[in-house]
Amino acid sequence: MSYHNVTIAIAKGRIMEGTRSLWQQKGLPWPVDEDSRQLWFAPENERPGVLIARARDIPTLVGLGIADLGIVGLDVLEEYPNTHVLQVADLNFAHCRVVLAGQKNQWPVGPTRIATKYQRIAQNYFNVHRHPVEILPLSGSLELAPVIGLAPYIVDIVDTGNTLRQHHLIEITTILKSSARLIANQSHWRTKPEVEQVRRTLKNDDSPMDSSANFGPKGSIL
Amino acid sequence: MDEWLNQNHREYELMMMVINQFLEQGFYPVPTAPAQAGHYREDHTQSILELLSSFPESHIQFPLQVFSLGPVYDPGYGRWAETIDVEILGSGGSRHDLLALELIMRLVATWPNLASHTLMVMGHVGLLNQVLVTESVPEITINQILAYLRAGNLVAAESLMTHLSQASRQLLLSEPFGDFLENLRKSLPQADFEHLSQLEQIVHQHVETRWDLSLTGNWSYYTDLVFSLYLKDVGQPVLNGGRFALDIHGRSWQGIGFTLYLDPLYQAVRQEMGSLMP
Repeated sequence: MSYHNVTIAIAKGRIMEGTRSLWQQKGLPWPVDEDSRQLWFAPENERPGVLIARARDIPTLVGLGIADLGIVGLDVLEEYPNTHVLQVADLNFAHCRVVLAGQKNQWPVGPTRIATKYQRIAQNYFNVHRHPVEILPLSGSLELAPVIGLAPYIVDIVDTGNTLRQHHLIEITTILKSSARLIANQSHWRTKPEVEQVRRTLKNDDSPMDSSANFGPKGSIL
Repeated sequence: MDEWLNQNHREYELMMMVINQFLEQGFYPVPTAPAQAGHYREDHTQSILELLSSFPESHIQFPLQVFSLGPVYDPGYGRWAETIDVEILGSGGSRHDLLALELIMRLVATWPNLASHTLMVMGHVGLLNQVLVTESVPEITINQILAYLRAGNLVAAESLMTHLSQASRQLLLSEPFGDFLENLRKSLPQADFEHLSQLEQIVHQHVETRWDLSLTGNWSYYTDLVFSLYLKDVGQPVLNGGRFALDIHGRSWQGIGFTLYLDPLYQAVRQEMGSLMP
């Protein structure tokens, strides 16, 4: 199977590091030179093309068909939903959690202000729990919000929880468990067999989802 | 600037050409508003039915063939898409499925190259539901599976179906009709195979088809046949549609409809337009 007709958009940061490791583990040549600022690597017979972009742009690039597939965290997909893409595999790396945290291990009492960069995830969560909140959108340094009195609680992403601890914050509950997801353009998933081939190549054997994954086109259709 | 103006002119011509086809085939235009009560229109069907629901039931003769023209808002990209939405309303059921597909295929046949550049994927929410019931999946889980599939989350949907038989799971693959039928006979021998063959026949003589029960359409009102006509290698659908049932202000509506996306259609047929315009 040749990959000359497939492109994957990959989110910068932890997702890209994990993808490189998975990519090399599967025997695919990794085209990205870490010292270079190049963001686009054309597909070749032995590997798909790679397009490096900001995480929140990945669903847009895949949905519009600029890339056939994308690798991005579930947290991003939940925060920026896009009906034009399909989630086709849990790649089982870049594990992290979106959590509610505060200075005390106590569920908010009464209407509460929440500082977060995950406005949609946070609002949906508190809607489900029928708890009135005021969402304060911040794009970074969320841990400071309770310390400086901006908001008593934050909804943020954590990996080990060290940053929270350093700011004397306590995880109250996990809202979402996230990991790297392979997403596909709906049209390409159903019309280009190479796209399913990439999923099969990249799937992580340790992932319980992938051991039973059963979707996708079968055989050549073109 | 001339190039830009000419392109706009040709896109407008294309829209008029398509509208004329629908008018000639007895469809009535229904003017719907692109925004209402602070909400942008994301779908014509609901707007059309809200307007029609303002007439007494006794004033409406079924089947009623209507279409609505104009942009729909796509919140995924925060942009508007020019569309024509076509509906065949009434209780014609499977007979209307055939009518809708014939209408689409007549449109596809207008541009000879369009057929070779497109691929029709057909799904069936009703069949998927029956397969899951036959496999003893609880109703609450079936609803979750359908919600996940509508949201495009195949990973979550799959996690709820790991105990299904191999034949049933195969139905969620994109397959040619022959392979799909073979698995369907194993999972659901009581299905209406004659009707499915008629649907396949209408489409397959014009465009390549695949069947895939993981295709459920994005709207929760789809009840049975759903379909998407995709442009190969472009990554955009030319049209999406399906059979639906919808309650509007206490009145039940059923029918089959589809949304035609004019920008991808123009991209696909612009080379051919010059020779085929009157």
